[in-house]
Amino acid sequence: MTEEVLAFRLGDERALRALYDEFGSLVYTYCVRTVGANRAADVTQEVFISAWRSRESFDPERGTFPAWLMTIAKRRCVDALRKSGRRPEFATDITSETNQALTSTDVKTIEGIADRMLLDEIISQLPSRARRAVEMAFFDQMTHPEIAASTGTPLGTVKSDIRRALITMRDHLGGGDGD
Amino acid sequence: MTDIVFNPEESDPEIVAMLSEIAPDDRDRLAPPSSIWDAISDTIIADRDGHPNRELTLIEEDDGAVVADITSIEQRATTTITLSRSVPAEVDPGPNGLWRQWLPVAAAIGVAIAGGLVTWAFSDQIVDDRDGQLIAATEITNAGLPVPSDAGGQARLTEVDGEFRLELDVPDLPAVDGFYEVWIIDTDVEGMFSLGVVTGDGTFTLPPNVDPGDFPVVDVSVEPVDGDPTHSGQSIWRGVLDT
Repeated sequence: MTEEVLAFRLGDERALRALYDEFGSLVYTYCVRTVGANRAADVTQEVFISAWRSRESFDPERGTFPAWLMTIAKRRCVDALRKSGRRPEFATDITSETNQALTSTDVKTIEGIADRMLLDEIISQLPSRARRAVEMAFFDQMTHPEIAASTGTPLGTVKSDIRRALITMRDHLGGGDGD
Repeated sequence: MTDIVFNPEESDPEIVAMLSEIAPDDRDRLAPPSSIWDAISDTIIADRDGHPNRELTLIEEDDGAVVADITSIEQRATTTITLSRSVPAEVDPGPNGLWRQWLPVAAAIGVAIAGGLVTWAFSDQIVDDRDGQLIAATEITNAGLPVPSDAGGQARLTEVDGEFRLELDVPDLPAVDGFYEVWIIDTDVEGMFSLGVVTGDGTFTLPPNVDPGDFPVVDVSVEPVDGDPTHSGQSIWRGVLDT
């Protein structure tokens, strides 16, 4: 648990501000993609207020802070859509028959977007060498020898960087029930 | 140096599959408008200062019905409850007469009257001070209760300056056709007190002179919007505080 997260958990409002500065764009972008631009601000606000009010329930052993925050965001977005009786922003199959009900497929897609955005957030926080190796491997589809040759890094280092990065990602996604 | 035998797909196929699905959209970030932090900050300051987080407004409609709009400042959501379908014929409301009918109700829970609207806040029920001496704590679960739920929560009883408070941590509340209410009940399930409407995590003050040891059961129910102040019997989470 970082010092910032510890301070947040203990009720330090400055820590909340710091965490908002760090993860506000993640949550807000996610909300725009799911509930739409018109309601994203309100839902983002709810996510952070909910996190603040339930800060004592955050258990760092069950997941990291951004994972916990995104769990809250997922629930708030689903709640907001259910309450408004509207389909998510990304839904393209809206017809007069389907525009009123959030489908189970919608919910899975909402969760999938959160997980992918969280993973990208984790990647962005990796040490630069590991981040570059992961991006080359998974976004540019380069092989490990190609990454090693391209970056001048020993092949074993490339592999261990990626392996450790995967473990870090797993740790983030490993838990974290929201409020 | 020994080469590391490592195949990402075998190491964590789920994560690898998710990584392969990351699209450019997933990497984009939008800057949140400054109004979001301003609103968060306002709410937190209000919490800290013990300001209300819900407001209730009585509104007289054209047909004479009286409705109560309960606005959750936290959720920016308003629930409308009809309190009275019409004014009884024998009652002449007169100027502001309708409000006068509700004054006893309002007075009972602490109302501030401003202009033509009667607005009060549940600040006497919801407080944010989580300090105090812990008396007892319990998980509240759905086991054996009529309203199904996969989730659960916690309840903590604290004492602050001789006042007993129930701190309730509940999961995100699914939308229901009605509202949630928290009760303390005796072990014979004969006597009970409602501590108030539940809209999320919160702290509820027990009525003065009530011994929490006599009412150790914490119960959250789903209540229909029928104006009936008694327990609906539709409990969703329950636990027992060992005081």
